[in-house]
Amino acid sequence: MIVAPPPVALAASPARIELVGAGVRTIRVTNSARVGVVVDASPAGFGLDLRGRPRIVARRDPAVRVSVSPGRVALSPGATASVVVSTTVGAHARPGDHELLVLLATRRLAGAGVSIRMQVGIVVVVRVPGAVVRRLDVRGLHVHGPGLLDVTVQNDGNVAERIGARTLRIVLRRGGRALAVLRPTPRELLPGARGIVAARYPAGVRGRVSATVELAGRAAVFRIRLP
Amino acid sequence: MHRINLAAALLVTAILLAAPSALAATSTVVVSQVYAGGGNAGATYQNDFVELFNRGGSAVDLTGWTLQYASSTSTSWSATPLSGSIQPGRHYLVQLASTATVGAALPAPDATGTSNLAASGGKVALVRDATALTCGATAGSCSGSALLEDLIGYGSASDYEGAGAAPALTSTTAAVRQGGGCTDTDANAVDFASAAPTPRNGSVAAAACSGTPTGDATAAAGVDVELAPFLSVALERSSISFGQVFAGQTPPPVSEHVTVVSNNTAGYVLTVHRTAFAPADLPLGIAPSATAALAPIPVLPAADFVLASASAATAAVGDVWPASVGFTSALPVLPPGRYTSTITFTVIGR
Repeated sequence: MIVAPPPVALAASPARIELVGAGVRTIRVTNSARVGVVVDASPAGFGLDLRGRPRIVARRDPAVRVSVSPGRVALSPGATASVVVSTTVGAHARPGDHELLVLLATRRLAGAGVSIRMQVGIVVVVRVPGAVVRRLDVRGLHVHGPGLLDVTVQNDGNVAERIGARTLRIVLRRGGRALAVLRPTPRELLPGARGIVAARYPAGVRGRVSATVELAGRAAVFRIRLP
Repeated sequence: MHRINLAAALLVTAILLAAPSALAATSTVVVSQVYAGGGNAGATYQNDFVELFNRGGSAVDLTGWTLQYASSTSTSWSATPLSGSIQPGRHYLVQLASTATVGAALPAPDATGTSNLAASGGKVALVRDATALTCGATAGSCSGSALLEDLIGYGSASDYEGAGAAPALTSTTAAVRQGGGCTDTDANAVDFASAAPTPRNGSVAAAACSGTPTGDATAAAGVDVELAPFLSVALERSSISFGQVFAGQTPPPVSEHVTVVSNNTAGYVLTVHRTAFAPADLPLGIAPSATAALAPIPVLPAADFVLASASAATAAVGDVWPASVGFTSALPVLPPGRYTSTITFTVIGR
């Protein structure tokens, strides 16, 4: 079976770049579509929303910069081009992780009515050498809805943290007896950011319980009512 | 009997003595690619480059080595210092001059020089020393240099390895060492062929040559493959037209399936935003499936609408999101004319 290429398609690799200090990496951009495209490459800020979903934000720390070259590539169908990503670190950059983004965006494709553009965001993480500070705090817990708890976590350290089953667990108790041990949906939490870590609880557990949130070697206890 | 033993001993000695010179003749680190069209009209790449390759079984320290270039018949060589080391099976990219900003940028080079290579003919030498060569006027004249690691003469070059030079170069072709960089018979005309340039630097995964000496009676074939994180997005349509519609109508939604392929185990998020319709805005929406309700597509600079997200790698064929684009309410009474907007789909790895 011969599969026809899609009308418009854009691919990039690597999808994530991690550097210690200043450095240079190359992204390969491929147009796997039926038509030629012009792709603009540009730097942007990177953030996560409260639930850990990536988003484009304004650039924050001017001491850590990312630049791309060339800023525009024309790709015929099936063609691949290289985009060089360079990062610079200023003298006053704070130690730790700095997240940035390189956006590869097709120019508006010709056609009637509503035009379509595509963007692929490449996350660039620059770790500025220096003392690594790791500090995670639980700031709250509430019921998001039936079967779902939200834990609010603050990252007061200077490196991004991956919060998953190994770093966080919730024990639901009633009368001293453990009813359930919950594991969260993994997510990343950027330095200086606050985020929500979600965890599902069993449908059979209802009413007043105590919830002990264990995170990074510390525990916080909350009294909640499960619907 | 003694005579036979003596003959055998001499033969063994001859083999042992001959072995080092035979090994020295074929280089461990070789020139694997030469591109001279950098920045020329129609160039594939913006800079000339020379790619080196370690076809041996151990790392080679390049400290003190130089990559040297002389034009077709010249014996005046320009030297580019090299540094660092080159691991077995790995490449090393030397970026050279550019004549104009034509062509794609090279991958990050491992060394940079200013030699401006001629496409019609020239000589490139890899030398285990910083002193510029003075040879090259005639065929074979550089071969006597004990510090010469490798030499390629291409096109109209006056010196080369073997009986003839490698092919001349163009803006879109390079001289590429055959066998994935492993072929080295000390004959440029045989070892190199004309092909599209594919510059590789030290970060490209290792590709060992079969038959790489290990020093053992048995040999093991190491398999090393490095899969880079990958992210792609494909759309069903490059534009959406709702045709001619009237105020008070709600045109039926149009499908716009979005396919995302990612090998990132943390997943991705797929978002969407749009520009306002011109000359006046219209209530455009999107649904993640044909049966879901349409949600308004945010207009820049508002935050994107999250169309889909995943927290695991996709299957090989990707995640297909059967989105549809339509209007969230009846079209208002507006002056007739063509109303246009641009929707942007964005995918970012987690």
